[in-house]
Amino acid sequence: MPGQFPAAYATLARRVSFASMLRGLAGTLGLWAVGAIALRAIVIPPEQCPPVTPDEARAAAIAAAVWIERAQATDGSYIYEYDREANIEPGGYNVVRHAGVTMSLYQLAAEGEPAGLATADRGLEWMAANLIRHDDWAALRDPYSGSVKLGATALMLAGLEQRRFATGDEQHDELMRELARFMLVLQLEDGAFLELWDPATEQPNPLYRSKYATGEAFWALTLMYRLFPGEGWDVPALAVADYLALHRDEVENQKFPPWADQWAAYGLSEMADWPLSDAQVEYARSLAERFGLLVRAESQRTTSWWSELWHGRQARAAGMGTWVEGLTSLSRLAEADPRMHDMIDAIAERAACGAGMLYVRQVTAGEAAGGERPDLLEGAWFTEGVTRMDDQQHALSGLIRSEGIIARREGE
Amino acid sequence: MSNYLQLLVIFFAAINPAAVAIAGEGLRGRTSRPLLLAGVGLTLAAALYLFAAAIADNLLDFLDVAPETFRIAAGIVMATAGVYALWRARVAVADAEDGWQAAVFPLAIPLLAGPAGLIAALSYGADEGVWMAFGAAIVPLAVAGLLAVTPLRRGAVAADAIARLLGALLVIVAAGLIVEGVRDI
Repeated sequence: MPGQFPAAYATLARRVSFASMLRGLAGTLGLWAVGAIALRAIVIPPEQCPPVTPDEARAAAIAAAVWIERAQATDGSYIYEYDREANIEPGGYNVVRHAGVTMSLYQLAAEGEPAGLATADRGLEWMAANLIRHDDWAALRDPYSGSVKLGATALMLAGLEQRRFATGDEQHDELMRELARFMLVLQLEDGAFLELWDPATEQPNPLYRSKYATGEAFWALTLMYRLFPGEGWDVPALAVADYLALHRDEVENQKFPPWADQWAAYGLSEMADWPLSDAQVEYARSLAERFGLLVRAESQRTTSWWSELWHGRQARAAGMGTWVEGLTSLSRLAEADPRMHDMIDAIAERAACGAGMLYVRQVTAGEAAGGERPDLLEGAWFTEGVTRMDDQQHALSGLIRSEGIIARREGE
Repeated sequence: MSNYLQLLVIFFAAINPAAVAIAGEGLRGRTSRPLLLAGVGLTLAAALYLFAAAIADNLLDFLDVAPETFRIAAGIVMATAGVYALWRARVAVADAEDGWQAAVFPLAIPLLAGPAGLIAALSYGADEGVWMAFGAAIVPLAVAGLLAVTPLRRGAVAADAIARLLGALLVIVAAGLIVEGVRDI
């Protein structure tokens, strides 16, 4: 017996110590697991990028164009909003969005799909009936409020430019020049644009700028240069490009710069072979980063209450579509400009992700069949039960422009 | 600064050898062979870092999380650890065990392989590759392992200051990582 006690004690002590170690280890790992679960649930939920093929992207874009066609009135205007829950059209109208919707149909045609051309031409007739002319320029006037906004004219011009690319029809060339000259009336010395022309004073209103319209005008001017290279449209386009790249976010007090401006991305992409300055490339890179972040964040959102609590509700198609439009433009720029080659794959990945999300969130014919107005359901995107015409516009543009990117990724 | 040197600095901040030295005070005197204890703890921790860096890509794929987004999560964890080190000048740990068990807990986990270091290994393993991340982690790990079983004596004040400085550095690195995660495509 003597001598056995210390040995037994040592064994017991080892067991106690081993158990205590396991408890400590388990406690630590348990705490880590709780932290990891919280991190997963709140910060890094899964990013869901539904697959979409090039054909599916094109079909979804065409379905959106067909929705626009069905939503068009005989005078060429479109249904502005449709509330599927209440089965009502809440009314209201926005002339800038009218021009944008029409432009997207011409864009579809310029990408080789003429399905919406006739609808777009009727939308163009509506705009042509609401022009205001002064001096040597023309502008699109809001028939309801009488306001003359830069954005409406810029998107009307962009639409005509897309029409020209799609059809080669030169009948509106002079109108395009008139519209472009109106935009120059609103351009300031630093390249920025004022938003409004005041019919009462017959002068630009010096008080307002628009975070949307400047980019729209910029893009329209770059396209003018492509169509009419000898007419000097590159000079005002370059001025606004510098304003956007160097000064806009500060002058216009953007809280989280850069402003996710897909119109600027369109314009920069158009300038790829001008070529861009280093500052403009830096701006284009920052736009790609911003659109990428927005797509990543969106891919983490679901319709669950938990997701809405931490990440907010899912973006409307009008928003998500603009991100995809921006990324597709920057993808073309990255392919063309060696200073952005390192971003090609990442931009393409996010663009395809955005297109995939748009594709799966569109109302299909089957889903529409049970609704009260299947004609206003099929091909549309709804947020909280409501679709607005620019949901279809931006989603259409994003989807059709992502077709090539998706095809290239499939081929790799 | 080369990528490797940057990573080395980041892992020094994430592992924080000075904070490990202070937190490991309870280990000293629990074993007659401190170097063996340090060696076992270091080996285990190194294996965990290598494992974390090696599985990074597959883990992020499994979780459906882009490396860019994971950087934000890594930054949050690292910032939390950095604030704690800045505040307490040590890493969070329970009491030490006797004998070889102390090499596992608390030396390997969580002193050497803590949340900040391991998540850094995951994030940088995905971004910079397994061996780059592991190669940068092993140096501060070895330093921390040795310091954990070395009596501080008059170096305690210096260790306290260095631990807090590394904590502050970790907060800065974490903020950078979060910004990078937000800014990248």
